[in-house]
Amino acid sequence: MNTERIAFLILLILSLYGLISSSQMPLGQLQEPGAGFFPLTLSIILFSLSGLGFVLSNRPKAILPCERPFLGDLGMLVKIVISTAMAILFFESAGFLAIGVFFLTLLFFWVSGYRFWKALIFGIAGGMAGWFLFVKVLGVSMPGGILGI
Amino acid sequence: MGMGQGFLVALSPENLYYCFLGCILGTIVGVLPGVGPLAGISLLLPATFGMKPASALIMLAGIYYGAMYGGSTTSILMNIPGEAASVVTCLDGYQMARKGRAGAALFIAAWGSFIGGNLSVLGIALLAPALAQFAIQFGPPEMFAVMVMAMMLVGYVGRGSVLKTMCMVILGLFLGTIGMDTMTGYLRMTYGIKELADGIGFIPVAMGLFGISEILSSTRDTLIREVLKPKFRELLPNRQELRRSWGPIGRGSILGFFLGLLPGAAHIISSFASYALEKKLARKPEEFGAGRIEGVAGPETANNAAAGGAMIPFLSLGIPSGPATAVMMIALLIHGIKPGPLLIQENPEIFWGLICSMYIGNLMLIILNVPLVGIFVNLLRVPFRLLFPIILLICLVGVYSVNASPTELWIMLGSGVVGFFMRRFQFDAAPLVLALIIGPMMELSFRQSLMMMGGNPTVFVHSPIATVLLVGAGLIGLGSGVKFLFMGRRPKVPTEGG
Repeated sequence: MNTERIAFLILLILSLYGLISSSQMPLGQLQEPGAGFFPLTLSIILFSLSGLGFVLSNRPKAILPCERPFLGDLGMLVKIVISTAMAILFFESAGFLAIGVFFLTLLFFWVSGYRFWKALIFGIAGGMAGWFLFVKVLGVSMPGGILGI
Repeated sequence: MGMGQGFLVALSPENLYYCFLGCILGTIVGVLPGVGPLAGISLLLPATFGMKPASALIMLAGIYYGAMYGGSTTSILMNIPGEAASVVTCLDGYQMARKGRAGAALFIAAWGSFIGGNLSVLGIALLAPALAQFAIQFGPPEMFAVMVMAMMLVGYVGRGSVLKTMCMVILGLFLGTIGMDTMTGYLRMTYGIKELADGIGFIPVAMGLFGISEILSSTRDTLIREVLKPKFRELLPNRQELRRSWGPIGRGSILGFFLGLLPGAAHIISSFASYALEKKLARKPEEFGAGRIEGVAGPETANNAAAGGAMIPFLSLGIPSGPATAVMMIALLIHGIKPGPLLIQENPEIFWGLICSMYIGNLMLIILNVPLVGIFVNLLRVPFRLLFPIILLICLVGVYSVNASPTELWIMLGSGVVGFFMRRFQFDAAPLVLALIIGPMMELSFRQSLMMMGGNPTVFVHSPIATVLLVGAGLIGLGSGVKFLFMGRRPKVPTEGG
């Protein structure tokens, strides 16, 4: 099972999900198609295309030079995702300024590899600069959170 | 109203300021790897709510074509494309920089962008009104046929495997059905999440697939990579370099403009197509990749010309050709103005004001990019491991600022992870995003067409325009199938970074 086959398998599963979901919706009639008509049609097409891809991806494929490892730096990816998820989780309750400082500090320290105090200084500077630019200068509405600003 | 009145609108102090602001910000987002024009435009979208519609569009358009100028700077100086359309500029531009010809490369890139941008604006002024006049006759069957043609074209000209591209198109259309059905009010696949009633917003999906995935795909080596510090011995190109640039600039302008009319990542395709053309026409094609000025002049001209060409479907048909033009469409809709065939008739000051501001914007950009390149170099000296957290924060702000929805932030993060795997599996994100944007319009046109004729599917062949377009779409689909089956799958090409 090569990576291309896995990709088409995922699409097959998605199309099956689409088929099941949309068949449960009202399909209507041809003179007045219902809510499920278009998604069902698309699911059938996606099923066909991904099925074709799944079958054909069994052909031998030339490996290009300098092809990087499939997952690359997985550790870094996980750290960035976790950091961003934490920022999103507390975005509205903590507020933009607080989360901005926290988020940047965490990334500078945990992912970029800066020393803690350097990361904290960058985080505070970046967070405050971002707050000033987006909230005060550009007038973008951001949650005030615990600091109320 | 025409160009004369358009210049009156564009030359007002207010609009000059917004044009300048858009160009500066566009250049900066073009220079910064990982932040594409979409992020810049999305971030500033809420700031346009209090502006006049013409001013809002002028500023956002400035960011769009400004990013094409800025993207070449990192390609030439860092061998990292600042914007996806500048990927191919890395091949020869960076080699020129290594030979001490960075200044010449940057000048030619800016000069070619200027020529290409201006010629494409002329094309918009000539073509868009005629197309809009023709499109006034369009009803739901014709609109549906146009969108089917657009989706088929995306599959045919898209990069990578035809089959993979079409899968992304269909998936994008399917994702566009999530939310409340506009005709019946039925909630489709929302699972009780009220924010999904309006559907999956394309802005968080696009920011995730392009911006977040770009950062997630970075390795530790990329994070600690420092920018080269070339010496700019000569900012201006020599006579031979100038002479050799004119041909590629001319060809790139025409090629880029017409490719820009195509939906999808036309500005990226145009740069690749221009490079391929110049290599084919060269007496010594083996020298490409070692620092040929033609390898910079052609692609950089083409991507700017394509940015102009991409405005035509958006302005005259109301069909965005990509995520950036889709956000511009949202900006107009927020102001109660619907882009499409009637835009030129009902709001001529917006159309002609935008066209004329693009001439002014191109002039501003060449003034900014050539002598101020030193300032942009300093921006590039900031290590990427310092930049990417800021880029991530900008993405969060950009998405939240549109609808103030944490759900959309989660969609963005999820799309980022999906985008990471899509890159690994060699699936292009641009067709999915474009289909997500066009899908709801396509479904509505389709259902309205059937309702018009009491469910008779021959409604699409009653209209000669729809018939021609659907036959054309069918032929393109057939061509894609033949290409896939008999010519094999296309070689791998880089995927879009935003």
